[in-house]
Amino acid sequence: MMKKILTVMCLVFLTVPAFAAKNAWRQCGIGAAMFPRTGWAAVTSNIIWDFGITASTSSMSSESQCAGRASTAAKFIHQNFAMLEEETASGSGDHIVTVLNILDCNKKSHGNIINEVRSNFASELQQGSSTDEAYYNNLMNVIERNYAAQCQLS
Amino acid sequence: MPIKLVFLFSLFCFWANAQESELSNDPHWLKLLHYSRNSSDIKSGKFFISPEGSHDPQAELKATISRLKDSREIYCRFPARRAWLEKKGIHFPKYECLDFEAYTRKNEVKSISLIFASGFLGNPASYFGHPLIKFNFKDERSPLDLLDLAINYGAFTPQDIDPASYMVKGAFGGFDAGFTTVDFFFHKNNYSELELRDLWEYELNLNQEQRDEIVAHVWEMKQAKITYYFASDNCAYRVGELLEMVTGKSFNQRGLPFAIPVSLFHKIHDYHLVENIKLHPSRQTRLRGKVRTLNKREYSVLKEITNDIDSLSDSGFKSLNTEEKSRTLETAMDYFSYRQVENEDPKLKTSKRKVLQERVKLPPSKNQWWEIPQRPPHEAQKPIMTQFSGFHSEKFGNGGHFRFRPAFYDLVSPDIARPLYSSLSVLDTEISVTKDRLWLKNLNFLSIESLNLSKTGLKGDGGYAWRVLFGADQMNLTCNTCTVPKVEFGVGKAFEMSDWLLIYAMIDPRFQTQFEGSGYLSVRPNLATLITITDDLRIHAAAGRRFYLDRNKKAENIYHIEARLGSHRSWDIRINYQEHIDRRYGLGIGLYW
Repeated sequence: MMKKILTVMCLVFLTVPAFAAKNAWRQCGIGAAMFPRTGWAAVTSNIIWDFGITASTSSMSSESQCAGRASTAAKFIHQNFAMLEEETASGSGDHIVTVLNILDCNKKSHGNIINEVRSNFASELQQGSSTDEAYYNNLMNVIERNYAAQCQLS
Repeated sequence: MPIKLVFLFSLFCFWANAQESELSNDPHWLKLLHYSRNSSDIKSGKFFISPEGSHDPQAELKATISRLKDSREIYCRFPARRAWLEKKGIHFPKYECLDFEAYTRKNEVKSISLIFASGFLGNPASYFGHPLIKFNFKDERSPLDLLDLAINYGAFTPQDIDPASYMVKGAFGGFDAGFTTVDFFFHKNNYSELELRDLWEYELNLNQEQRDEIVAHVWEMKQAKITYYFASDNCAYRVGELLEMVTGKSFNQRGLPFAIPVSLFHKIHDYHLVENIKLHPSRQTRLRGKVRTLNKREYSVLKEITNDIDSLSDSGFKSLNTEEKSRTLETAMDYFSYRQVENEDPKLKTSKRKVLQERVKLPPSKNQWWEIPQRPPHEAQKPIMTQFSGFHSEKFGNGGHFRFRPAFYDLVSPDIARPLYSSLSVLDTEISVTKDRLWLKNLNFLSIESLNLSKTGLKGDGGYAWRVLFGADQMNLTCNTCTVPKVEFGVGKAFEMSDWLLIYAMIDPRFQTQFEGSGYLSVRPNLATLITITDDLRIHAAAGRRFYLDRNKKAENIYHIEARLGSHRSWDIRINYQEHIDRRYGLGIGLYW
C-alpha cells in the first residue's frame, strides 16, 4: 500500500510541473483577450496602443496563474511568433536563444533542442498547422520529453 | 523649570515647522509631486497621502513623513519620496517591499536607456517619433535585451473611440495618461515589426542614485493619471520631467506650447548623458540590408520569388547553391513579413509559409548581413527652425524675410533618423518685410510629403509619392495682400536615378478661397528633382504650371529652387529662387534649436 502511495505521489510530483507548463498558454489567456486588436487605429498610434497595453494587463488572467518561466515563454512566443518561425526555419537566432534562456535551458542543450523543434516545425508547416500555440506546445513537448533535466519549466 | 520646558518645546516645534516648510518648498519635493504653479498635475487621488496633497505640498510632506513611519503600504508605495527624505536626514523604520523588489528584480537595474522610436508617417500621432524608457537589467538571458522592462508614457483611450473624437480629445485634453511598464519585447515587436520603425537606444550614464530615483519614481507613478495634451503635455514632456528631476538639467523648454520627442535626444547628447548608442533596426531596415547583401544571381531569384512564389520550383532557384538559397530565402521571409504589415492579402501569408518550408529543408546556418549605415537622431538638425533671410524681388525690391517652423524637417533637410525623402512641417510661418510693407507670405498649418521610394526594387516596396498641405499662401509673388486659405493634395511617382539624383512628377489639385477671379479649384502638374551632392549640399528644384479649373483664368508657370548649404545640427544656409509671375531671390540662415 505504502509503495502504491509513493508511486502515485511520485507521478503527481513529476507530472504537475509539466501539466502546469503545458497549460500556461491557456492559463494566461493567450490568444484570446490578452493582446486585443484596438479597432480602427490598430496598434499604429502612440496614443492608442497604450490602450492595448492597459487592456492587455486588465484582461490577462491573474498574475499568480500566469507567473513562472513557462508563462513568460508563452507570452514571448505569442508576441514574437513571426521572428521565431523565421529563426527556427534558419536554425538559429536571438529570439530562440531568448526563449530557451527563459526556460533556463543549459546552453549546451540549445543546439539539440532547436534541431528537434525545427524538425517538428517542418511537419507543422507541411500540414499548414503552424501557429504560435502549436509552436509553444512543440517546444514544451521536446523539452519535457528529452531535456527536462537541462531546463526549468516552472 | 516648566516655563523653560515650554519654551524649549515651542522652540522645537518652531524649528520642526520651519524645516517642514523649507522641505515642502524644495524644488525636488515639488518635482516628486509634479507641481506646476500652485498645484499638482496629477489627478488621481491615490497619488497623494494627504487629502490636500494635490494643492498643499506641506500637508503632503507632513502626511508622507508620518505615514512612512507607521504604514508598510505607504513605505512600499513611495520609495522615491522616502529616499529623498532620508537624504534630508529623516529616517524611517525598515519594511520589506516584495512587490517593489520583484519590479526591480532585486535591485538588478544596471543602467537606464532612453529609446527613440523614429517617426512614422502612417499615423498622425506618430509623426514626431516617440520616447520610451528602458530599465536594463543585469539579466543576460536575451542577446537583444528583449527581457528588459520598457516604460511608456501615453494616453489611455477607450477601445471604441471614433477617429474624430480621438483627435479632438488627444489635442484638447480629453484623455488621461500615465506611465505603463511592460516587457521590452512587446514594444520592440510593435515598433520594429508592425510599424517598421527603427528604435534608437541611448544608454544613459546616470549614477546609481539617479538610476534608483528614476526606478523608484516610475514605481510611484504606477497609479498616477495626468491629463494628456498631444502637443504640450505629452510623452516627451513627461519623460523630460523625469530626467530633469534626477539630473537637475533643463529638458522642457518653458513657455513653449509644444514638446518634441527628438529634442530629448539632442539634450541628453548636449548634456553628455550618453554612454552608448545602439540601433534596433526595423523589419524594413533589415530587409534593405539583406537585399544589399545578395549577389546578382540571388537578387534576380528573389525578384522572381517575390513576383511569383511558384518560381521556387523553377530552374532559377534550383540553380543556386545551398548558401545562396539560404540567403535568398531568408531575405524573402523579411520581404513577405514586411509586405504583410500594410497588406492583408492572404496570398502573402501563404507565400511566406512556402518560403519557410523551403528554408527548413536546408541545413541550419547563420548568415552575415550588411547593415545599412545610419546616423542617430541627435545628429539630425534640431526640430525648431528660425530663419532670417534677405530677398530681392523684381516687384518689391529688397526686403527681409522671417520664417518660424516649430517642427520638423523638409525635403532638403539632412535625412537622419526620419522617413527617407519626406517632409513634415507644422505651423510653418513666413513673414516678408520691405521698407514700407509687412505681409504674411505663408502659413502652413500642416504639410506632409513622402516620395515613398522603393529602396529594394521589389514589388510592393515603395509606391506613389504623395503630399497633403493645409494652410494659406500668397496667390502669386506680385501681391502682398493676397494670402488665401488653401488645401492641397498631391500624388505622383518618384524615381531614384542614382545615390545622388532623384526625380519625381506630381499632380497637385488645390482648393482655395477665391481671389481676383481665381476660382476655387486649380491643379498643378509639376516635375521636380532632389540632388544630394554632399551631406552639406542638397538642392530641390520644381517646375510646374497651375491651371485654374472653374474660372477662365490664364494658367501660370511656377518655379522653385532651394539649396541647403551645411548640415550642422544648429544651423544651415538656404539659397532660394522662386518664380510665380514675379521673381524672387533669397539667401538666409536657419537656426535650429
